[in-house]
Amino acid sequence: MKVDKQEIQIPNAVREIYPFESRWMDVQGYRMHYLDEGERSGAPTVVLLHGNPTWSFLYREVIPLIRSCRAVAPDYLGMGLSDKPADERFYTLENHTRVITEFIERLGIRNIILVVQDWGGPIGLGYAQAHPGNVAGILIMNTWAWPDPSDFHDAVAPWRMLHAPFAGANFFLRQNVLVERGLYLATFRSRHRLKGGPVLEGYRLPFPSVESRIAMLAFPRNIPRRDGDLNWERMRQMEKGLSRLTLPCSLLWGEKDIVFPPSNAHRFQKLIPDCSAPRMIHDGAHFIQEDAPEEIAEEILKLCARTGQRSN
Amino acid sequence: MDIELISLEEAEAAGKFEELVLLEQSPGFYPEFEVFIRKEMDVRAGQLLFRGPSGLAYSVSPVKDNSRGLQGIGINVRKNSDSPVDPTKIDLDLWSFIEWLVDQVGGEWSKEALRKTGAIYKAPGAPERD
Repeated sequence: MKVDKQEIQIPNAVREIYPFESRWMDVQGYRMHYLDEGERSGAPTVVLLHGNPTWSFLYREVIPLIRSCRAVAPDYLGMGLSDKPADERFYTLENHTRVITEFIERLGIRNIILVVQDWGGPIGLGYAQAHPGNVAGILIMNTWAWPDPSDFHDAVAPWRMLHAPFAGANFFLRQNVLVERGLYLATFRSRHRLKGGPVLEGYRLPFPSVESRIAMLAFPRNIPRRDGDLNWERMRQMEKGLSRLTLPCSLLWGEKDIVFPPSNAHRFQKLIPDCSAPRMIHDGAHFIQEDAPEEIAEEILKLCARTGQRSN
Repeated sequence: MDIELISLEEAEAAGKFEELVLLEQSPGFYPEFEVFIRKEMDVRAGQLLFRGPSGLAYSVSPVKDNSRGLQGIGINVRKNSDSPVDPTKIDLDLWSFIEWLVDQVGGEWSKEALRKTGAIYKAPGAPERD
């Protein structure tokens, strides 16, 4: 399979706000990029999972605030600085979950605290349901775990048109609109930073070419709408499995998210037995890591305390 | 601005070189798109040919890869030399083609929905958002 292996140099302006050591792991024959920061000896390990169209850069302001923990932030294959196979069919929810499972196993990390948002939700919850003994707690933010994600996903304009055949290839691959405009539209408190400058430059960095953007287009095409669609049964089983998740769970939600609205947070709270009431960020939207990094760090440290894992 | 469907002779007259400007790997993600495009290609000897508002000519045809077989359906601009074509012209021509396509596919797909989406995401060719 053809792979986009373009070596990406991080420019100084981006490096200043993403001052972390890049690490690499071979997974499924591809090179995967990740961060592994913070305390190692005896500290809880926090795994930070991103969504679309983001990468570990999304957590750059959270990681320094949880230095007392070990913070691991991978870039999925096709995203960030990881290799980007050229075949759209490679990028299924099942395969992303398989890759993250192999990544966690190869890293040998135990009793992890999972932090998930957007596609991090179905990927991370898929991992948690298959490996409940290795997950000590989970922080869920602006995501979903059932076949019907929200009303937004049923509408032709803008959502379904955005990734329809040919229109989607133009919007995602040729025009890169999810980075150029989607991030801006899906933030609130920090929206001004997504108009230009080093933050937007950081999000643009991994996706310089049409060939580098294929995973971004595949993500929305993995969201099922009706019985029989790819991932419908997987998401149905995932929803059923939430009631069997006995690990401590926290919910933090950007209230102004129209993609995954606050009703999703309440649905998680009803479905997961040991789940605290959602903490709403009134001036936060979908990319809550941009809008509320301090609040995320607070919730991670609280979750560590709740799970009995002591951060130094 | 509308596209104009053209004959093979007209496309050949526009240039002997082809450059891939858009590849759709999943034309059947919503099956009605693939059904329409394949039907149009079938009645036109395997490829759909059109001229965009810029005057550039394009072919829409299956893209095959020796190792993987069918890779998808590609849109190629026809040109007379190897030199690159102004990408802003291609952007506007592709927008017009996609407007035509969604209009032809019909049903729940419409030019208005495409324009609304394009306006929200500020895509080249789309109208300005109100």
